Amino acid sequence: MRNILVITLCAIAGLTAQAEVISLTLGIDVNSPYGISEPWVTIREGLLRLDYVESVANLPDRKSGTGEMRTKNGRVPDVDTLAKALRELGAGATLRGVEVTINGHIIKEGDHFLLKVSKTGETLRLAPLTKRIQRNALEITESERNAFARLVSHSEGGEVRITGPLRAHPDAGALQTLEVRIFELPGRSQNQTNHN
Amino acid sequence: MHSLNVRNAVVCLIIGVGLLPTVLHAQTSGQWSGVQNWPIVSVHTHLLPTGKVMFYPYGDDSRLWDPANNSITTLPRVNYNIFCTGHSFTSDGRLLVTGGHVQNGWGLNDASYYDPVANTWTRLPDMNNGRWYPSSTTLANGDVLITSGSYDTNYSNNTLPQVWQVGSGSWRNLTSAQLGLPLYPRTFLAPNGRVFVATSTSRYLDTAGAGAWTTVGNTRFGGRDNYGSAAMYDVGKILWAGGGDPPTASCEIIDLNAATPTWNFTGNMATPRRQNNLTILPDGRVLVTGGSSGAGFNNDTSPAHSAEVWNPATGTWTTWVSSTRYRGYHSTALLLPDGRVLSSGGDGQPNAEIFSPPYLFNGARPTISSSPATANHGQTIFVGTPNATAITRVTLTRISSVTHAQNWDQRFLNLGFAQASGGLNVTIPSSANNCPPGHYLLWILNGSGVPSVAPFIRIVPGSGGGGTGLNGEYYDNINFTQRRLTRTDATVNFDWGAGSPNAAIGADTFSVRWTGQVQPQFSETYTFYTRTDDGVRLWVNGQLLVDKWIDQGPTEWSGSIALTANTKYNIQMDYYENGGGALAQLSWASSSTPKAIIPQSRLFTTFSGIPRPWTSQDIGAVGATGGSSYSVGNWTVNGSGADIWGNADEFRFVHQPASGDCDIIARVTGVQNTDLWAKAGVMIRESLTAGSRHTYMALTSGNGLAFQRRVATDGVSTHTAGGAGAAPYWVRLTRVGNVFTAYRSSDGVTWTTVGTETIAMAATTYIGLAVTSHLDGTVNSSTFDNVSAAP
Repeated sequence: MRNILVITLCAIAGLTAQAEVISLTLGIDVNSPYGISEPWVTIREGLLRLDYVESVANLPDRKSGTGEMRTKNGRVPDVDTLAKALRELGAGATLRGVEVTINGHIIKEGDHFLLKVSKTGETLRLAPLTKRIQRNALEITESERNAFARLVSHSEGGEVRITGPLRAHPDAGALQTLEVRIFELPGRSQNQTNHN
Repeated sequence: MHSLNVRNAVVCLIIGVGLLPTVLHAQTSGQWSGVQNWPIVSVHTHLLPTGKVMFYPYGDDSRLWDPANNSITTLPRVNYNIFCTGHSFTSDGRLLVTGGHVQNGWGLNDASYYDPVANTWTRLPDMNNGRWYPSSTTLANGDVLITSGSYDTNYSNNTLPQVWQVGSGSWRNLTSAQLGLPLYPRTFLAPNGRVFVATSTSRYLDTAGAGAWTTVGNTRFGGRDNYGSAAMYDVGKILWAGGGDPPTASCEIIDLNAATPTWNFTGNMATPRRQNNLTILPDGRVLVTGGSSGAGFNNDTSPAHSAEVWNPATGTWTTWVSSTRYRGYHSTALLLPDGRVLSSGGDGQPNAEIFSPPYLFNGARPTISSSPATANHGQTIFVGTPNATAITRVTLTRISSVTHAQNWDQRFLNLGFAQASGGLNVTIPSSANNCPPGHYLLWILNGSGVPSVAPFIRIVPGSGGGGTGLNGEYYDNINFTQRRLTRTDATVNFDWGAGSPNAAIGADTFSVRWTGQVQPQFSETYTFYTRTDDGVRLWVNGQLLVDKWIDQGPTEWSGSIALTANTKYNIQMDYYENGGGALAQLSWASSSTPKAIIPQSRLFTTFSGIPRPWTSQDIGAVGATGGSSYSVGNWTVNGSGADIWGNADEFRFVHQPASGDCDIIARVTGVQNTDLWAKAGVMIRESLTAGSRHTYMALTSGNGLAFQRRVATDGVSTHTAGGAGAAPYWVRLTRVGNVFTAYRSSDGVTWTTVGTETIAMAATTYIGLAVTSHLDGTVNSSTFDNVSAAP
């Protein structure tokens, strides 16, 4: 599983090496009884019409009900805006969730830990994982459940790569939340890097 | 009055009052039949050329419904699962069925013909891979394009378009055009011969060679291909209605005839729909039936029962009466030959209803007493009817093959027609792109819009006259020099706008000469029409019918000539474009031929003689008769004679009259060596007598170039050597006042003066090509091209 993940990350990162959102996975629910694959071309072509979308995978992952996407300049997408756009495509599709892999630096603000995205300067609030976006995913592992706690205890302003669901905050204008499912601390030893 | 009679009268009155609104309602909104139960759900439904309706459900279980007696019979099995296949009719009326069902998303790679006459299935070679939900599009040559479909449980898209080649019975892979497409993409053969694939990002697929895609543009509503229904309601014009989830009431149209086709919204339906079916009616309006207006894949809690009709003239929808049953996912609809619309199937609906549009309640129907079973593109056919004077429209609708909210075959065409004794002369469209070969319903409609019952007519591939078009010579200036392109043009019907015919030709100041022969179908007087921007000349059988060699905006000119049926006549159209828009069209009409672009089938590339206004004759006492011919810009002049020299000349002269200042250019491409002083060149000559004054710039076969002239009638000749040169070589003569100048050029661009002479020549002269063999009695055959005369 890890090898697959690494290969995927490398392949996607190769598209835009400077991007700070390294990968972006959309969890999509569809009305089609045949699953996400049946309306995928319509979804894909609709997403490609959005001015902040750079590319969308040719094929989705039918089992997990997800599809890969890249934003222009690696910017962090606004989840609410993306959900609205997907809903309005007319493809019978709704956004179940967004998972991103992002490089950034952790900063503490009051009781909150924030991730300042390295190149774009966007800021996300960090939080523990509540739910995976992949359909039919396994139960959240212990490692995933405590990934947030271990991350904030280890990182003090250093570079970090975090993978996890990106959630909109219910309050308008509030920071979006990045739930920590996996993280990597560049330069640290293997046991300080978390994978599922 | 007896009390019983009173009671009966009251009952009749009540019934009559009750029926009257029903009839009036039907006149404005149509009428649905009752529901008739069928043994299976018609997921795939086809109007066969036999007039019967074939349908099959979620498996290999085809049935045949006969509208004549409302019977249903079982058809042979093909012996694999044909659920989720693609299908369209071939030009001979067989149904090509491709793909099939293993399980959801996983299609078969099978292909078969169903022959409705023999009532047999025939297995064909397999496709490259499975196709579940493929699309099938019959092409102009009768071959069939197959696109999309998925082939495994991951719904992996079969990205390779394949063309079923009917003639060879084999598949041709469009390997350069592999692309993931939506399932069951809405595909249409477009006027440009490419296949328009109406997905949310719409594209053309060029099926020539290995195939190539061109992006056309996005739909306004992105979810249109999520079970919206599309139909080509006129030549190159497509309506796409509904679709999306949640369903939309919006609809879009695109005109593929436009220079830059663009999807635009047209009127909204009254009811949002997905899983709806579009059916083109005999009058060109488009009926929508069925579908769901509720969110979800197949929401049967919000059925769209009402029929609505879209009028292409206004872009608006009118609501008609409602059906009884929900026709959603896996429902179909198609036009029957009697003008009614069959609406059937849908999940959980093994039944059918039939809709009678309002035109069936608006008075007596015109009748067709005779019509041919087959016709060729461009052919004018006779359609017998006792109602000829009442007929205002003649139309074709292609027979239907429907599944998954899409009718893959239907299209609509307005036909030109003229009234004749006992019927109508009707012209079949000349373009196979617009009218793909195959079976159509032929409708005649009266002024009230009431259609006849339609006979089937099969449009046969190829052309009735067997013509292939005219020779087109394209020049990068307005005087027919600098030829850049020659080709066969199927018709003369070009609107280049601000562009040019070819990248090698500038957008302005170009000229085109079309030559060939035209073959009329009738012995009648034909009127030929040119519509050009800018100048035009048209000759038919050597007769100048249009002479408007002037700058002008798009303008129509015409001339008439009596022709004999099935005789081929020379035709030549010269055209130039000097600036702004560029347009060239050539049409014709006769009492039996509705006005139309002269079809390819009636145009031939053979051309006898030489183009007008040129004529050809021997000058002087030649020992052997000469001649001349022309083929796509290439001239051959055969001349005998002792020489063009001394006091009298002997040669072959291809000439046209000139007046005052003039200019003649040609490239000599070959001088036959009948003598070292054999000559081929350009001449300006005062008269056609042997001793006429003239100037002559020639290329000899062995003595290079020569500028020769006779300054006095019957006087001696004078010679100026023009230096070395061999064919191909350019020669030129100009006259300004009485000064004649001779030029030579190796490339037709840079000209070198060979000599000048002042001659008191008459204002009216002859200019042209002159060839002498310098060996009297022997014919010298020399050749030219890039011949340009400014007389």
